[in-house]
Amino acid sequence: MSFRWFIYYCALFGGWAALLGWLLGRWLAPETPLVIQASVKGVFLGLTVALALGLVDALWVLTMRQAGQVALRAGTAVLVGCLGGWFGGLLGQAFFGWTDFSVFLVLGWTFTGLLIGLSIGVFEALSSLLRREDWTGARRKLLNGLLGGAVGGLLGGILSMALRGLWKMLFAARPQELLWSPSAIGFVVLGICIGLLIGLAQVVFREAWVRVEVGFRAGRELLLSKNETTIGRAESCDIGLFGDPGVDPRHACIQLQGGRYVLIDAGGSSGTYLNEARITQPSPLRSGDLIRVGRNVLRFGERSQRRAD
Amino acid sequence: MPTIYSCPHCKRSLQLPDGMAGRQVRCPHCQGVFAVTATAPVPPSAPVPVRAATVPAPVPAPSSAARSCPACQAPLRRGALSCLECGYHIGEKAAPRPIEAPPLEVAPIKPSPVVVAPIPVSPVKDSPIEVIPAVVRPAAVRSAAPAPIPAARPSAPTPLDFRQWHPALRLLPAGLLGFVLLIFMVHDRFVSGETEEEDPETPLVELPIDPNPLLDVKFQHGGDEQSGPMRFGLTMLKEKDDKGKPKRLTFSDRGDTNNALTQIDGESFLFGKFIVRTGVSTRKGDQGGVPDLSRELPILRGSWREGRKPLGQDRTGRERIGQSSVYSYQPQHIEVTQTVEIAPGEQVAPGQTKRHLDTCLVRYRIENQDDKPHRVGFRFVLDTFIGGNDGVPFTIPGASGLCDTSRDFPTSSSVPDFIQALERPSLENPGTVAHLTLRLGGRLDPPDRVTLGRWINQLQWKPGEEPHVDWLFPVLPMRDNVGQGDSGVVLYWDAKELPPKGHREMGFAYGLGHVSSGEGGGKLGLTVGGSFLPGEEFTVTAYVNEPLPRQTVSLELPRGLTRVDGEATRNVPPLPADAVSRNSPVTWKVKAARRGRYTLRVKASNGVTQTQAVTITSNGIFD
Repeated sequence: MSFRWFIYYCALFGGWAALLGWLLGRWLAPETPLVIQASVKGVFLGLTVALALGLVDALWVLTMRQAGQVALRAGTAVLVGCLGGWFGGLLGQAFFGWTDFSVFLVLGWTFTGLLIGLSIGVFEALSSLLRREDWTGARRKLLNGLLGGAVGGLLGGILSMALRGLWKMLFAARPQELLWSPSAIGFVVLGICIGLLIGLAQVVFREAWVRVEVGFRAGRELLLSKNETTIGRAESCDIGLFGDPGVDPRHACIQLQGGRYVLIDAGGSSGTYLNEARITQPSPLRSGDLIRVGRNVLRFGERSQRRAD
Repeated sequence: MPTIYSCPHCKRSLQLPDGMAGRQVRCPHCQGVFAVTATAPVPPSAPVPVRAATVPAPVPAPSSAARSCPACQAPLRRGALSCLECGYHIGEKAAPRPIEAPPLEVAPIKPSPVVVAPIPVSPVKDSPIEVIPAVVRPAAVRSAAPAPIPAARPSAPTPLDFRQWHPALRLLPAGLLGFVLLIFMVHDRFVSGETEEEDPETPLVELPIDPNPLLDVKFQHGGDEQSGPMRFGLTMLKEKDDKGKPKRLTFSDRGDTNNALTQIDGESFLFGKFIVRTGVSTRKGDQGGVPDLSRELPILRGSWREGRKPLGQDRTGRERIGQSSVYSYQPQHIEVTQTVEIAPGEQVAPGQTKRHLDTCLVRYRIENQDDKPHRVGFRFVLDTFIGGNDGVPFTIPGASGLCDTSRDFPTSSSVPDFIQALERPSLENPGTVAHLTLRLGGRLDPPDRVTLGRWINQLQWKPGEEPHVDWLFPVLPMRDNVGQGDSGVVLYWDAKELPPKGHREMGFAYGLGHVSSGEGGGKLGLTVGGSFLPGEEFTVTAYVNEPLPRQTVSLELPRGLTRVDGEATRNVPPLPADAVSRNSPVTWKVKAARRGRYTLRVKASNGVTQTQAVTITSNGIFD
């Protein structure tokens, strides 16, 4: 999947998931007390959006063959998304209930979106922290999620309020509380914004990536967000190159060493080639380098261009 | 060795593995099918030589009968979809499928250890190129060409793998999402409020608020904003009493005889500073009388942190009537915020098109600003008064007759939703109806105990000491030994532990109520009170004037309203011969599941009917 389709799918899945969350909240949330109602709706929103974006995020770099990892990533996102939605809805409603100020309506949405956006990057952050690795990339993803969620919640809340006001003028005789579209559109906008900005931010601020130019699922682009990205035909590899007998189960890896990425061959018989030169020791990578593994050709990309050594 | 070819239909570049000559492929860009020739690869622009040593030996083409992996020759299990050894996806695409156009006849291409073609990287577009190999029917193969080397296998289908879709199809889910939202808007335009509403005859319409208040609230305060007790009294702005003065709902128009008391860790403290005036006699001197002094008594345990703060605007931009004040008790660091506001009543009288500012909402928020927990309770004494009657009796939902002596509701569950006092016993013309709502619902705690009885002055004070008021208010008959009435209501919120930075909120509403009696011709009146939030309970009270023996009344509820307990048809309690009022009340507890406006109806066994509109609203942030 190319980066632009990744962003598109993030936004699309975010929007659909938010709509599903809205439906669940509409049907299943209790009518009262309002704080509980809002928190339950937040839970459904967080659950669906975090699940959808967690799946898109995980499946971008993984395949369904790596179902365990996909489930772990998506499960973590769902757990944190539910908590975030619950807490955001609770606090937003509580503030609005206490003050009765309209601004807290929007702030409630913003806060809910912010916490749901946070959930998308929690897995990487926790993984990095637990492994005591450099968590720069994970932190960036976490912040991107926060930003996307907050902006999405803000826009969704404002739009919801604006539509409510517009509908009030257009359909004065309609019971405002029974209208579907203001809150549904607000939810969808929130989901789209969270997804869009999470995807966009990851792509715009990406530090390093690999694009499969030739080979298994050519055209896909993968972010290098870990300290070590493994390449091979084993299920556990981060960049899976299946169906090529010239690729070892764990063929090579790209490591972040001292602030730059290096390509390391695992020692297989078919070897790993960097710009058509077989490597025998860790070789620093520069943006635009071609890596050949079996009959797969990968192009390494890096945001900060390095001078040739 | 993958090679770049040009699609004859759309002229875009395709990358195909070796051995595809003579086969038919489907272009992922234009979906056109064409035969691959062996001589027409696109000239590479950025050749990258590939070592022949890396090219594996050719393997036979996959067939439906093959039971070994076409990629690594590892044996496959029956029905296997992918190779366990190398991950090669067998799948449906590996199955032969017929093609209509005959394959081109080409010379067989032998695998060569030398470089047969460069891998042109740059011409490959950034879109994911998916080469769909057209598998040749075995019978159609004319040459003995070796089967193609399985290059990187086709993509494993995943739920997100839409690469085989036409780009326009990828946008379909987005269009569908917009379409769903459009349906929602159509629903809101044409359906909402007509079929969704539980009571379709009375869709919920937000009534405008009449900006002219019916009630006035005055505060007892000192000369500046940081003094006085901030007690408050209520008067009616459009009604006069017998003396031509504004009709009062509290004994004092500034609430001098009301008081609030905070209990902290077992000790009771008055809310605010206490003021006495020169010349004020012991009018209510049941317990020591009011000191004949004119100064603010020293309250050493607390001070005003904020005084007489305006409430600002509500959501509609209307300036709210009332004020809030924050009193801080030291050294316990307990802050009590009193908010008093003249607000629009939730229910309107029949025929009204506006909500009137006829209710005084009183809220107290207690916050523990200390770094250790405290047990904090609260008590409020309301000296009720209607017109010229200081000993006004009360109507209590669920209780027959009027309460004109005393009554104790010792637990929270026994506290009624509301109590009412009618100025006159006539249902056709009840005069002023004072309505005290005890359960506002939502976040506000209802009282844990309520007593009705005689108002007395509890103040105990000696010069040089702090004034003191006992926590418990004696429950005495409203009328004293000489028959003079002076009724009061005491609301208790029991002491509860507040953790550091914890808080609790409590409140009640006192104002003007309504009795719907137009259809009942004075024989039957209806009133409602309680919490009008979805899922919470409110009380419907039917007043039956001069009830007949064995008379019954029946409550009819529209869809969406449910009775919480008891039967719909109930007996009307007979009135005692010496009853002050000739109205016998019958009550039901009712709950609404959803927001909306409902009309309920009560029918008496003598044929009299009365209806009452009830509005259930709520404000959720996600609604």
